[in-house]
Amino acid sequence: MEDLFIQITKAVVAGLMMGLVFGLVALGLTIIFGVMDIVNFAHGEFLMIGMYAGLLTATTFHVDPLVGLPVAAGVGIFLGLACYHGLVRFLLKGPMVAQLFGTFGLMLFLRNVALMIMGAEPRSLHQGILVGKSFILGPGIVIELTKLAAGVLSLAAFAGTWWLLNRTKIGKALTATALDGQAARYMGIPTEKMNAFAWALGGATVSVAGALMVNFWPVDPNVGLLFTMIAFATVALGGFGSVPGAALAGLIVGMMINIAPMWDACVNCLGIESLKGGGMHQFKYSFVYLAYFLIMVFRPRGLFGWKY
Amino acid sequence: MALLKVKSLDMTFGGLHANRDISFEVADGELLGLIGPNGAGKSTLFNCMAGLHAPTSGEIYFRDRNVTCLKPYQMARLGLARTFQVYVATGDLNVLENVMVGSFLRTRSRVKAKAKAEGLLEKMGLAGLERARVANLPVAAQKRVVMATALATDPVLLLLDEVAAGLNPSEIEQMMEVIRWVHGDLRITVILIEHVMELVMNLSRRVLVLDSGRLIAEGEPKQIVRRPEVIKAYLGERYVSEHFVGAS
Amino acid sequence: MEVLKTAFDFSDFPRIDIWVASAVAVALLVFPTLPHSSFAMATMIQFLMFSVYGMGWNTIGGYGGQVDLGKAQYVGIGAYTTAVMMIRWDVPFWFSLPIGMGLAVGWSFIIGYPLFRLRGHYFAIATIATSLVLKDVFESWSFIGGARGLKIPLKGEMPNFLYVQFREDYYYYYIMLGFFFIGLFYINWFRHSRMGFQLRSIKDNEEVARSLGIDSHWAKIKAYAVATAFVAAVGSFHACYNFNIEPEDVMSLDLSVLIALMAMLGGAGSLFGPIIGAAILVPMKNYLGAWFGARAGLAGLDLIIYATIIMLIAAFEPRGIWGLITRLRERRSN
Repeated sequence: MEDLFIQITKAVVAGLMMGLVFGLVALGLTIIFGVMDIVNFAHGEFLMIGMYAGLLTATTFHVDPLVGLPVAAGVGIFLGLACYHGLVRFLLKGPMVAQLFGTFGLMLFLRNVALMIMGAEPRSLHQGILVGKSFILGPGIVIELTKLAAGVLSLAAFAGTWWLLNRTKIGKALTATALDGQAARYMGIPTEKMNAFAWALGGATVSVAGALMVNFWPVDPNVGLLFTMIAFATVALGGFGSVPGAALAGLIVGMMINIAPMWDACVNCLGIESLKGGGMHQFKYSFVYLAYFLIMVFRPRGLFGWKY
Repeated sequence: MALLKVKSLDMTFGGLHANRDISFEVADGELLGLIGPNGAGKSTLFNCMAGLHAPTSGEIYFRDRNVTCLKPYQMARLGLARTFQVYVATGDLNVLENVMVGSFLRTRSRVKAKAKAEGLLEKMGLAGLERARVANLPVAAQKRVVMATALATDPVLLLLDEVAAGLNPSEIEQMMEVIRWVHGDLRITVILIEHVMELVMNLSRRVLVLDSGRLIAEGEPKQIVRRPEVIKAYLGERYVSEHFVGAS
Repeated sequence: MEVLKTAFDFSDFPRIDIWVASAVAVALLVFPTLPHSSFAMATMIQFLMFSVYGMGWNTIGGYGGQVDLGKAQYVGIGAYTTAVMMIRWDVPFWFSLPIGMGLAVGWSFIIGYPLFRLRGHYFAIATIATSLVLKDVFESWSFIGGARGLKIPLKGEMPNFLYVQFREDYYYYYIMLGFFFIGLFYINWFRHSRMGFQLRSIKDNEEVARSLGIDSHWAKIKAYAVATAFVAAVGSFHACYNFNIEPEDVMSLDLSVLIALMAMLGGAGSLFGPIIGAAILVPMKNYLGAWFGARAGLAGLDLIIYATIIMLIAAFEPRGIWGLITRLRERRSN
């Protein structure tokens, strides 16, 4: 029994830490959606680029991956702005179908450029001050420091974003544009600049999330789609446009993905041989997609959504 | 025979009590006007009858069937058609195709649907405009396309939503002719929401007045306008007390 | 009878369009008799397949206005039904084809009912979600070979019309050409039919459509089923043409996107749009891929070009090439 408790706690903690990262990933998507009603299919690709930014900074300059974080943020800002000015600006004028395809094209573009430059081989980074170390939460409950740091730093990024949105002038202007674009325009808030800002912020947060995962998630150009789908499910659950929703939903999704180890733990402990096996592991992402579907059909507003 | 019966209809949206305890009947073959100041709840009542909202309480009977909770497409199939105020045509369907969508309700055959649509367009004075884009037409013509489309569904009851809005006097005259034709020749029962008094007063035999969600008066047009409560609804308490001696 | 007359009614196209289309049809009919490389033949077959995929997608995505990015799951159902029935129970293609379509359509009704409560990008994402889930299921299902897929064995001597297995590609070509023409005439009927009008009305303004007696939810589900039938049929063919299927091939998101993309590029919501789209993108993909792929390291370039085209079209002419042609014509006549 005690062993079961330990296993489950480990899985729960790991799930929560990943959940915080997922929340950060979803944050950018929900902000962009809140401000201009556009859904960014290339969101996962931004994350992938952030991962490479972190990876390459660490390997090229022989520094700790933590140094890669601000680099990723910078890259994310640049990427967000470039995409906005180069493409999204035009898409906003068109019908929704066009927006869908525009960002989809962006996704294909970024993915294949990365494929061409980086090659398809997944890379991992096993160096850095955090690697190989663990944090001991309690008797037998051990969590890898890299994952813990990812979770904690995600929380910090969340806090930073919250502070930015609620305590700075420009952040409040952004929130205002999200709540009521027209009214914001009447108040003199320049919508164009706010849109660009949303993309810069969205790009930065998700890039940082990518860089945070470099120590424990293999980096390859195809990783984007999975995270785009996870981000969508998270945003749907939390409510399109809601920042706290993204955080809470991220935690839930993180836990959902970790059902597999929890299930294994229970099954092992209770000795039910027949239920062991890879089933749960293979379907862990399918659960997320299924969850998205169910949420959208039965409660499209999600937890805190105000935009559906 | 009462074609439409509304009993104690109540409609609340969140905090807004849009319709309060409204009851009335519409006889087969009537031409009924529905008037009232802005915000009185006319559109809401209209939408409840058409099936867009299910009333919070109360009942609606159409052709002796309880239709309270039916959806718009079900109401249309039963013979209730309505026009829309602001019709945003995105340009995929031309005038003829628009009307054909209506006639397809009653037939599967494209040939028949087309014939019916063409016939209606001709009667509405729109012959020759079949291939035009609705959005390119002048307002008066657009309204007639919308009416033709509704008529193509072979309704027994037609709800007209402010069809005279935005028309100049001669266009209003023409619209009145069309409505007279629909009511007289096609024998369709008509309920009109209107702000253009000239149209309502000249066409309707009976008028219902709404104010603040309640039905405050019912009767013949000429008599209705003299009633103090109606004048008060439009012009306010002071006007009534200043101009009506002994009104109470 | 009226159905047939409508299916052949192209009277709303200007004369020149009908001439061009007829010329193309003749060219398609005689193509195999002209000298060609096997690569060209394979490209043509693919073009036909994607045209039919696109025509099907067009019913719900073009005329219906609901962008569906999950059609690949039905390709998979079609392909696997044919493959499994052929391998395990020796069922000829012509029997497994309708069964596969039936299964796919049945599944489409099951998920269509909740799916169409959604609209716009939420709908699009949900279609991706369902497709990925089904792909995962197929990849774990040992009965149908899991992720490794299925190899379809030869059933006797080729040419084999019962099981649709041939050595020479032109047999495959003509079968697919048959599908192509059937599909084309069906869609021509469709756009003139009650269902077609209803869908277009829904796309214009759903509320108005409902007030005209259209059960919009059900109409969309029906259109989705039609699209599914098209796509599953080509899937079944794919199994016979390729002799080898796996979920990554027939059920991937990339396939779903390509289908939608070609229809959109050519012009969603128009009769010839999907065909134009396929005519441009399929050869481009194949020839660019061959040319650039030969030089190592540039393998992804064709997709980059694709992606750029998508972005340009989305930004500047969302109605695709056909939309561009229509726009230019309207401007000229004004």
